[in-house]
Amino acid sequence: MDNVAAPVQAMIEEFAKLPGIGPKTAQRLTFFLLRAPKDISQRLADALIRLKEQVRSCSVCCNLTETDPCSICGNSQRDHSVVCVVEEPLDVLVIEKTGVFKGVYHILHGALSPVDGIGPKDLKIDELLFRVAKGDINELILATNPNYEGDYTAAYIASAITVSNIKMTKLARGLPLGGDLEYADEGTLARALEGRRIFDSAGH
Amino acid sequence: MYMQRISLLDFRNYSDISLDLGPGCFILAGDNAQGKSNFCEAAAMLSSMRSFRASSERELIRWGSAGGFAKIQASFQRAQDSCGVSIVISETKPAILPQSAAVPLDEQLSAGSARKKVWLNDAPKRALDCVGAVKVILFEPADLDIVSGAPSIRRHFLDVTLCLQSRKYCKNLSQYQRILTQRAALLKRIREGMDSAGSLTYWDEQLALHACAITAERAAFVARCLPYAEEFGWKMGIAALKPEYIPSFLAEDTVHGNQLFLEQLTRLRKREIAQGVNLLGSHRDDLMFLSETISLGVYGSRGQQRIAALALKLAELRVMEDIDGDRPILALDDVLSELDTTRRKALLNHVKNYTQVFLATAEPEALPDDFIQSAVRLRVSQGNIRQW
Ligand SMILES: [Zn+2]
Repeated sequence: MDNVAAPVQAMIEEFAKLPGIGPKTAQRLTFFLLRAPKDISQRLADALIRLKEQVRSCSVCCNLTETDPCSICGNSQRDHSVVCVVEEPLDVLVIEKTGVFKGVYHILHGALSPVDGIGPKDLKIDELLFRVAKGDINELILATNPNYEGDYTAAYIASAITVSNIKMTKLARGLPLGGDLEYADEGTLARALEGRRIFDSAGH
Repeated sequence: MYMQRISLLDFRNYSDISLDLGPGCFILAGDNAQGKSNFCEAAAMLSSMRSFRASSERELIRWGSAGGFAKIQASFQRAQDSCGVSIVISETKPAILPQSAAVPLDEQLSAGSARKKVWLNDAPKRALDCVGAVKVILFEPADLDIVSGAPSIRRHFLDVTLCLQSRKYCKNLSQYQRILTQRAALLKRIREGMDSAGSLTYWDEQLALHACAITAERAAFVARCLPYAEEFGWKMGIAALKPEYIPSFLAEDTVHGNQLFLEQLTRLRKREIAQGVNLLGSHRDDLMFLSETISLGVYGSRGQQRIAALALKLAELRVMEDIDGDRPILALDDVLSELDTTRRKALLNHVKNYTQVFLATAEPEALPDDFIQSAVRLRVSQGNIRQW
């Protein structure tokens, strides 16, 4: 690629670092931008800058937000004593779509996975324990993905919570094992939210 | 069950052949590297959906094939019905991609890989759903390792066999692999002080659950094989041949077994963390072959080891028959050359009444005349198969 201008090469390399984008697609995107009107690149660049500058973490639930607290944590109509614990911000969107959940959330930003080097300190687990320790929470719904990593994360959280007057339930029924919450259909998820069962972990 | 017809297109060294078959014994005679083993490989693949010897399925596509794909197609008559199986293996990407840091690693690794498509009675299926639809038991020279090789080879044999028999076992096994990987990583993290030993609780329970189930299934299968293996052993001159499953842990039954397993695991805790390795479970079990009380894996002659391996495969066939009510197809690739005349006769007598048998050999003249006369004689030469 010696005969390609350095900025073009740099752009291709940056695109290729993104998930799901191979070298071919990276080239296609780069040449599309080169040929497209300048304001397309300008708007993309602005959006990229705003993404990192204006999106921050909600100090309550750790969701990504422009305002702190986020719109859900700041909503007094919602039940702040019921917290649904999920792996990713996308999971919040999926559950909100069902319209049946009136509580608030906690976003872990991943699941524990020893083989990937992800331990408790790499997730927002301490933040959750801090929320629990404040004593305003009656129920935790552990809605991690129904796979080993998600299950392990739920079991870990259940064993790390030492206060005894919290009801812990788990989303399980109807969700396909080995799946992601993100791919569960709305009806199934709504049923799962209504039919959640008490979590029985080894620590309890 | 038996194969009625098979077609191979650009599979290994076969460019395009079709054979009408039927019940009975088929002698596949031919010099080495003419395609006898390739035929056996194709037959076994129709049963297990995977090649027992190709390190990459791309190898299965004939060198220089015009279409860039290999096709195995066969129709079978089963006890209750007939059944058609087709497998197509096609090239996905050119074998050589420019090596570059900009190419993601997964793309580099999948370069030159193959895609496999499977049809059952002309309906497209996932390969996993077609495993064991028809059953072909293959014995080939490398199977000697089941007796003389490393324990992992014996466990692998049992896993492949049980996966052919049960989807549940197959699922259990793949979950077990996942648990082992995560748990080993966690043990290392605990050793490095990055996680607490309490984090093991969840994985211990999952490990116990799966290990007890897998070990119980394997042991039950070996126990079912025992009478058949022993009977064959006597015919082949091995006294009181006994395949015996050796679990690496104590488990009385699956209910109390889990508790017992967890207790043994607790005792190993320090060692497991220090070594960062899963020390207990089905992945450390073994299978032993005894004649009276002597281990054939250690003290048996090469001939005895071969007979013991063959006995296990033939017993596998009988156990599957007991379960399904349908006798699997048997393929014997080059097993006769290492047997003496008496044992060769005993083996042929043992299998001659099987529903369908493929017998690949480079020395057909060494077969007894009456056997040759009663069998269908096929000559394999340079990727062609003809009657002789
Ligand atoms: Zn929030």
